Amino acid sequence: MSKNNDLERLLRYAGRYKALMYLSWVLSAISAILALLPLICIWLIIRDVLASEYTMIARYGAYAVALAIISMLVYIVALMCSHIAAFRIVANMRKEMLSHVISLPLGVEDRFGSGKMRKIINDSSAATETYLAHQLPDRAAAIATPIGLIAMLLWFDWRLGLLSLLPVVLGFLIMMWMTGERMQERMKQYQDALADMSNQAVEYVRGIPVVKTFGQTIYSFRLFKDSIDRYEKWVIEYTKELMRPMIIYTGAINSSFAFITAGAFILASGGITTEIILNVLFYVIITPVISITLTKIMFKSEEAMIVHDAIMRVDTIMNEKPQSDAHNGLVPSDSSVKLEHVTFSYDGKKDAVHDISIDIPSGSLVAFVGPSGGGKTTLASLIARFFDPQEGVIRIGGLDIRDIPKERLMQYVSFVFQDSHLIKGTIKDNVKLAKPDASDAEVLEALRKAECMDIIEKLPDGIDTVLGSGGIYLSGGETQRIAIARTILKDSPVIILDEATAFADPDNEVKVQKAFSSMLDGRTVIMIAHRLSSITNADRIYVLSDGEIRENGTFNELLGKNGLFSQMWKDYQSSVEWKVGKEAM
Amino acid sequence: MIKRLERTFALSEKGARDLVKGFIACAVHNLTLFVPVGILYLLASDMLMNTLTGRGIFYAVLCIISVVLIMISYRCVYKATYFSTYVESGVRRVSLAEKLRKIPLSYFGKKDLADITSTIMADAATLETGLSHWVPELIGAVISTTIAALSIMFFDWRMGLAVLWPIPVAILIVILSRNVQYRLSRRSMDAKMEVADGIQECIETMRDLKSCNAEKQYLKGLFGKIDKVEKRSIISEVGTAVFVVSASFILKI
Repeated sequence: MSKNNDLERLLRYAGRYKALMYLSWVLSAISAILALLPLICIWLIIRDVLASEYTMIARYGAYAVALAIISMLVYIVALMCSHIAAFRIVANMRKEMLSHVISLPLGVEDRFGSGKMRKIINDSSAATETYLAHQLPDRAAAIATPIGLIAMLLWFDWRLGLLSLLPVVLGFLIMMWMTGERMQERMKQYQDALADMSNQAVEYVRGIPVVKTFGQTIYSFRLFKDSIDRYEKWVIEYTKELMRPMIIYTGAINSSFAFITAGAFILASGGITTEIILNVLFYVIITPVISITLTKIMFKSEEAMIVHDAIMRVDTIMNEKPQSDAHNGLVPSDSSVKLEHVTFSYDGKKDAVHDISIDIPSGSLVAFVGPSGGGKTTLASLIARFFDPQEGVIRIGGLDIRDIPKERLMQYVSFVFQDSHLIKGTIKDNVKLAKPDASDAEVLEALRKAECMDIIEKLPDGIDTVLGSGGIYLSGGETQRIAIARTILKDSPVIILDEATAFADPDNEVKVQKAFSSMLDGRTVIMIAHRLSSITNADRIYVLSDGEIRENGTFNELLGKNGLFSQMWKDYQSSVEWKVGKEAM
Repeated sequence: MIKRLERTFALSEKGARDLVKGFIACAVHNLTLFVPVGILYLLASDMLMNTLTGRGIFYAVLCIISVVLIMISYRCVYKATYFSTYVESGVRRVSLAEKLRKIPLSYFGKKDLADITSTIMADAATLETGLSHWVPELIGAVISTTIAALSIMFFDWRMGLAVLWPIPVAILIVILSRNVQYRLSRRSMDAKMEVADGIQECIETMRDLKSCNAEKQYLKGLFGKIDKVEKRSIISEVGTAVFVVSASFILKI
């Protein structure tokens, strides 16, 4: 039942190649029947030999060879059809999943882990390939072959035929026993153990630089080793469990000769005739065909389980609810940002931000400060609608952001991330992401404003240098400056800045600050600040802690309050002094 | 030989020994599958000579013995292949992890770590299935076929030649075509890697893409790569099919 649903699901991805898939099954079945016909030729040859009649043998032999070749050719055509359709299905699955993924709120990726998500999109779709390209046509053949065989049985000797089919039935029973619900469960466990191990591996490797620096080997290694051990233990147990059924199964499908021998005795008990000898010899020859057919079916059901599992995995992504998108002509009236009683939780248990109301007038500069984990970045992400709050409304230019089409919203709001990612492409490609039709001059101008010229100058091909290849990688600060250039090119009225917490070198820091300030004029700016010195002139500062606003006001007002902010300022200053002092030494 | 196996399949010494055991077990198992053929041969000649009567028990015993033989030898195959590879792959993964730890720090800055790791883990899994399923079977088949071939030659060398000549020819075709096949699969592999990278990048840079309104545009490029994989897969499939089919044609004749 569920298998049929899987197949239906897969075929939906085939589009107009669906017909090709069906054609491959028909051809494969025809080929299977054709493959049985040489057996009749062989029967005729045996008959003639036993009758000492040699004139027709060569011709029968030629027939047999010709039929075998035709059968193979038909099979090849069938497989070609099924492969073309299978490749299309895989491609369409990937496309559909990716299209779905981009409509999801951000954060879903983090929950999955980017590696795992890629694995599902890329590998689970590929896992269906063998099933579609080989197993399904083979299944058609596996259905056609017994039908053809049964027809032959009736034609020749039904008693021997039935006996030679007995092991097939036995094999089937054992297979069903082996591949029941429990196996499905097992398969899932297996995949999970694999996934767990690969996640641990990524964690482990990510941690290596840290481990090397601080020399704490055992712990991170232990986690990884544990997952390996778990996997190993599981797999061995699984293999053990399968051993007995597999042995019996192998015994059963290879035992048809015994049944034929028994049959020969039963038939011979009434006296041996040429006909009996003929039939026994014939069945001796066709028996191997039966075990080959069985083996084909056998692998199919294993493959079907893999496919079922793959589809379940695909569904974990496809079942994620996409963010709604508005389709209308509404345009925000200005660049003011207003939050009304906004509450958001990542996990549905603990609120990351709780009942926050903020009013940011058009063209003002506000700062979010506070301890890490206080909700600053979450709040900023909500304003860019990377995800939607559970309660409350966020308005830009008076409009609920859920009523603004996503594309227009993104024209209004830019987000400079603390850790921007650049795509593998040229610098130009990366900057132009924000405005695909920008000219080279515009790109250069944006890069100049973002203080990126020193980066460009040291690259071999200037703005046409391909990043990520040939060992060209940019540092965090450099990456952020490119991202700022991108934002400058985009030229949106609302800008959200997530200041990087730490810079490798002071030169970079100064440049990033300069780049920041060159894009602030006349815009609404929301700045997540870590260096408190950069926000002394902010119109308003919000101090966030535990998802709530503790204090707000201008820099001087907050210092006067002698509260959380003034404490933070004292800490900050002493840390700066310490740094300066150290540098002076 | 053990040393060479260790290197080729990234095995420990014990693993290599187990692999050899796997080869032998597979070969022996294949040979036990020939026993029924012998029994049927006897049966046919008894029927033709009309000496069948009174040999019922003889045949029954033969049949039971050979089925038992098949099952026992299969048990050996099962133990020697599946069990030992899974134990071995645990060992391999741990030693991989150890090795990763010893790589100089500078290397980690340069490469996409998540990518390397998942590739390594996937390769370990492929190696695992390869070693548990295909390699012992293949080598076992080669050994048992050779033994069978030799014994056929022993019976009657003319018949032997008539039956066996296609095998070396087929092998020759496969070997000669290996270069072409290698190139084809290499190119489709490249296309596949590109898609895998693209998907990873798409997910990782989703935030940036979205805030630039560039996700649809990016997806268009990625779809192009997916289409390329589709095309390359078809080409390499056709290429491989041509050789494999011609080889198996000759085998069937």
